Amino acid sequence: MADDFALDEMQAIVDEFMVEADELMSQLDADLVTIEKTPDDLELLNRIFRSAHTIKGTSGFLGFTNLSSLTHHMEDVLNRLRKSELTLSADLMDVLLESVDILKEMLADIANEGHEVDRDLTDILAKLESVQGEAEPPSQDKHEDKPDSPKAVSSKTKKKIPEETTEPLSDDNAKVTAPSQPQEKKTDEVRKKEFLERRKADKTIRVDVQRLDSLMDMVGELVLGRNALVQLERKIGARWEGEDEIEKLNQASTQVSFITTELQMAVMQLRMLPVGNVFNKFPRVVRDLARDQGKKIDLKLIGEDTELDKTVIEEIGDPLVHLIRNSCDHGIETPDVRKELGKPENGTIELTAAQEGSNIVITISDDGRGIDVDRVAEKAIEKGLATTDEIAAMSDRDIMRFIFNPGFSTAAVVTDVSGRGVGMDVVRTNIEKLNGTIDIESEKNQGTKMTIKLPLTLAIIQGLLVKSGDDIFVIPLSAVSETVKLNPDAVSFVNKKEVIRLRDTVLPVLNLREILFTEPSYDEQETSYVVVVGFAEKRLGLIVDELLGQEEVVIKSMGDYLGNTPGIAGATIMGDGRIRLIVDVGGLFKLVSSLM
Amino acid sequence: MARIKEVETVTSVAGAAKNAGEDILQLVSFKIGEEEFGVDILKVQEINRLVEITRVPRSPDFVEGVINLRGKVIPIIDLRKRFMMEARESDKDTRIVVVYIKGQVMGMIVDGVSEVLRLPKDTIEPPPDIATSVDSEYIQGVAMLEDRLLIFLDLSRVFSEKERIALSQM
Repeated sequence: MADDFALDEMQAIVDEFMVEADELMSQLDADLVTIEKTPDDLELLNRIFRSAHTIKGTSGFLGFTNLSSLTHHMEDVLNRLRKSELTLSADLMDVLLESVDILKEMLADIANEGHEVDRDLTDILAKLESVQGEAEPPSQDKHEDKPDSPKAVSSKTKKKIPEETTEPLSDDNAKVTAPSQPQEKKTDEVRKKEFLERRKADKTIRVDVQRLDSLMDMVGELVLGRNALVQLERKIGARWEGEDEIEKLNQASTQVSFITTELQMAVMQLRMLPVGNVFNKFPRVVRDLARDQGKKIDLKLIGEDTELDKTVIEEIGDPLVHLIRNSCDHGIETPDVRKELGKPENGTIELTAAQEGSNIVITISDDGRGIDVDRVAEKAIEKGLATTDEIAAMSDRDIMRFIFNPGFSTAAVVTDVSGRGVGMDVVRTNIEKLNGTIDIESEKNQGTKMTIKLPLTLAIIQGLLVKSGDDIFVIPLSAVSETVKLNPDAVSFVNKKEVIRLRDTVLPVLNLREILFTEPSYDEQETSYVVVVGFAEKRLGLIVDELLGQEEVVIKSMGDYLGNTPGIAGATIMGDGRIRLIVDVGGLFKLVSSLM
Repeated sequence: MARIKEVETVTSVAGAAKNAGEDILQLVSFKIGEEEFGVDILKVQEINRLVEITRVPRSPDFVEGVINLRGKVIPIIDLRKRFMMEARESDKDTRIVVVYIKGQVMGMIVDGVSEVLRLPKDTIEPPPDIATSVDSEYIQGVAMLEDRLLIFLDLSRVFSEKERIALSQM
């Protein structure tokens, strides 16, 4: 079969198959977990069956015999589930999920090695047999051409005469009483054709991420060029005001500016993926954890369609897994405890995503035992992170933030405190790296809610240009809540710290230069400004000499050598070719706490 | 324009270096104060005139800042400060030698670039005990030229990990 194809053509098909299989696998994972809760959903069961069937068919003609054999066995089980010859038990589900795991490993092998790696499937195949055996109704014959060895599948089915050219199973209205396994009778030739047609019918194309990245880079450069053009146009316009050509130049530059913005949006859109890509793996995680710990947990996913930049999607997975695990492990109580507390036996974890302006907000909330603020406070004092007086002056929310301290992440402390905190500092660091913030709300015995706010993209930000001494910095606008003119008389001292009154609140203020360069504070000029920045619920006023305006900037890394500079997120090249440093607001807060 | 000329010289010689026998070492030599230093030509990407440098907060004092090298942001260190020599105003001879080291592009400020040298490898001797103004840690070897001493720098030490680690922990 493979002989008909040129080698590279074959490789292209294998690549396509890998992509398709990947999608099917994550779909299978999610679907299997769902079906366990709604065993009567025949639509869903059919879809699961089709996923397994599709992989079986394609892997058969590609010569991945082990893959084909395993999916074939899964298909047997699924088919009998479909016909209600088997009932869905947790044990059966365990075996199916295990099969999916093994399938994933096998696919990973193919992806890595370029061919199927020999693998002992006896164990899992036996398990798949035995779950069928237990519930086997006497009247039903066993699958007639079940392979006796993994290697036998494709050669056996190949001999059959093709009797169908369409694939009945791809029809969404497939009846519950599916035709008596017509799929078994298709030849590899037909399957190959099906596979190719299925891929062709796709309205999407797959593009190497690298190409998208270089497109993104070029657009970044274009944005710089646009900025330069606009600046130049302004200067020339001021000098030759009223000239005809200036009017035209103005129009042209406005046009270029507009198109650049559009193009930038379009390219960014290309890199957007629905957050569901990450969310999809959580039903499985929750299901496995709940089963391990004898808990009952419902996971609700909301807003899976919300789109995020690919890089953000890639980075956000681990922190989310961590938070979800925490909710399962330490948040949700066992059914007995929940009953005693008068809560429903089933705990609920809700995972939501929504877009808010140029941010995406992800929340993870559970109705578990919540965080014991008093214990956190105790531990914070014990660890020397705060004094009793300081704690007394803090809000509950501030106190809870201590769980994000590295010192809090040792397991012993954590279980004492209510369980949370294992690696919470890592979670926070990861989110901050993405220019995001994380926030906690929790009420004892009511539950905990984590709110993560992330930028839609990492590459381009809106920045506020400020002048501080001789230096010009860019402060990400997302962190700026407002700017106010500084009235030097309004600065007072609380605990030797400079503060100003801002409406009803007292705001600590510090000179930006002092924070970054540790240069001694000097008398603020009459014309100084305060840029109010926020990080989680913390706020700080940065004193700067001048506000120079707002600009869209492309973040560039400063490389390994200077990349870890505290308080600096990166650099950007302005329209005039000069480099300006971008302030890392989260990092500033860290520097400030070390200064105070 | 002068920059381009210099770049051309360097790259063309670098090309020749590949063909040269293994026992010939090609060096770019530059001056700091009265002393002459050399670095392996294969590590040198280009030599530029001094441009505007944006200073970076909380970096070691020998890090002058970052420059825009055709759209890339690269760190610049001042070799005078690195070697604890007396500071000096830049002048028309001041250059930035852009080197490629450990997968990174970095620049170093020198007083002036002198020439490209071809030296037989065996003329390079281990760092002597005699005092040079530079910490022997940064020296890979020395070579006696007709009338002067050339200090062959160990670039990976000049941009050493120690400071990088110190930096990241600041």
